[in-house]
Amino acid sequence: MIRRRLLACTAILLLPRPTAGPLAYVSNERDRSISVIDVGAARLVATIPVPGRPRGIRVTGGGRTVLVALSDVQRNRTGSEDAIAVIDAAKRRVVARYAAGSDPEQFDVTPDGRLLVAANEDAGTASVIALPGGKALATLVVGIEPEGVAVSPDGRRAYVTAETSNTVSVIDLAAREVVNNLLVDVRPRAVAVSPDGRLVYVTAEIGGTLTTFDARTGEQVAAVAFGDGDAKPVGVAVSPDGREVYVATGRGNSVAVVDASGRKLLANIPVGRRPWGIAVTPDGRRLLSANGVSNDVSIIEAATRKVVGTVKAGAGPWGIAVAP
Amino acid sequence: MSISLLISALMTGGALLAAPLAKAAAQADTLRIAFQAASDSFAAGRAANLGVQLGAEEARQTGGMVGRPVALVGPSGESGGDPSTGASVVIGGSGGERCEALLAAAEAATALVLNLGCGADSLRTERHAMLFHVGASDSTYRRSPPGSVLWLPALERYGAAQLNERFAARFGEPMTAPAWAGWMAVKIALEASLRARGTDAAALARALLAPGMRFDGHKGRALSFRQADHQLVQPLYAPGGALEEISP
Repeated sequence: MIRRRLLACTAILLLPRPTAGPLAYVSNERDRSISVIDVGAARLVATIPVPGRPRGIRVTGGGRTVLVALSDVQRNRTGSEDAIAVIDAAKRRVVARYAAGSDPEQFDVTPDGRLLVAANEDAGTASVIALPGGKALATLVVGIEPEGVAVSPDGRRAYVTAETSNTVSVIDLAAREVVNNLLVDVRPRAVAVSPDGRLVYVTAEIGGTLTTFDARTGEQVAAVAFGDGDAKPVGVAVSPDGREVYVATGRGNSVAVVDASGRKLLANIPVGRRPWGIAVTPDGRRLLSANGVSNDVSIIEAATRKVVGTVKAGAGPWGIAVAP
Repeated sequence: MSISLLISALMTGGALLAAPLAKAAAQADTLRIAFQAASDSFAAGRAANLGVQLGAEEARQTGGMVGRPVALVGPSGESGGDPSTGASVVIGGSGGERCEALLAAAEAATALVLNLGCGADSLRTERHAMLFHVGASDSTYRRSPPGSVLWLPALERYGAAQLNERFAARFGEPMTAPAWAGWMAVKIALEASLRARGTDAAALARALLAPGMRFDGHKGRALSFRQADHQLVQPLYAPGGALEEISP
């Protein structure tokens, strides 16, 4: 009886303040923290310190867990801070750390939450680890300077970009081997897969393009250029209905909207300075960009393609992920 | 390190080979690159040799992934343009003593010739259809702030830190400008071959001038060859870190 009441009290104390919308988590590369943003209310609700330089970020377990790639400042060797940090979303603190090879940068998680694939930038490899627990399952050689990672919606494949090789390696997650390598445009950064798994979208920072590949054949089927101006396409995300692709243009200080076929630029939305990470809310109504130089997050209404809110984050926002 | 040792290191180096993959890999012609290595006895020559070595190791990895085997043939010495080497690319010109051999290769016109460090404006004429310049011209340097260089080991932005650290980890010394030029030349050779979908020398030269042909030199902007004089247009770095666009 007493014990039950105690539990009830604890539960109330631990309950976060009511939120108006989904929560977004932003990795702040320069001040080693994660900003927690209430998207609906457009306000910062918490800041979580992390032990390392955070970059790649994903939400798993239906919003209960936030995973963050941490790197050591010491490059080119596995440093003591290199890890995937596990944050308990309710407690808002780091509860575990998994080894994921040298200098993990971006990563993705299978839809069932059981596998994590991380790009090890300095080692030229991709690490596959089991969740939860973090057991290392495979280390695969991919291109030089691997960067972006995306897992297909069916969880069978992972795509890993490599900035120096201009390649995307296709990993069969069941066999845990690289089954194909696609030649892509110059300095590929991020990769995303359409909800039906048929199309693979790749940004190229120096090429200034988004290129689209047929996932089955590996052939390039479309390309769209963002002009010869300042645009340096980096982060990419697909709307939940698969109809639109969103690209953070870096020095272009905008989020570009491209049609699903990857052929047509539909809109270019000015946001904060140097947007890098990009995410879409699960209902598809809001786009979020993590702006690395203006140290904030732009909240865009997808329907009107207008910025409806700007929220201050930490120093050097890099990646962003939204809880369901 | 002697030249022969250097070449054998090139042939056997790169323990991290890409997994054998693309079906095309077995059938594709090998891209043969003849390197007119510089003497190790002066710093710039030695640096260029190491840059080519790293470039070749990385090109072999990338080429292996996408079905284009890459081999350095040589040491080619003065016969860099000799068709008997089977090379469709010659890389040379790393310093004064190597400019004559470079010119001979350009005159032979049997291979795409990539010039690392010969700055003479006389080389930058329409007469040399197969000659392309990775390094800047003497006249560009004369117009630039004193001490301007192609690359600095202290560069960090735009992926420069990653490249500098790969070089330092591989050789235990900083990546200087001649080393960058050597690394870049091999990368350009491979990417020309991937664009041309072959190894024919004339096709490689055409690929370098093809519309939209851009290169990432880890300098934060797209680099390309200028039609008029085959010069790679790129930023230079002045002491203090300012950028200067090349305009020979």
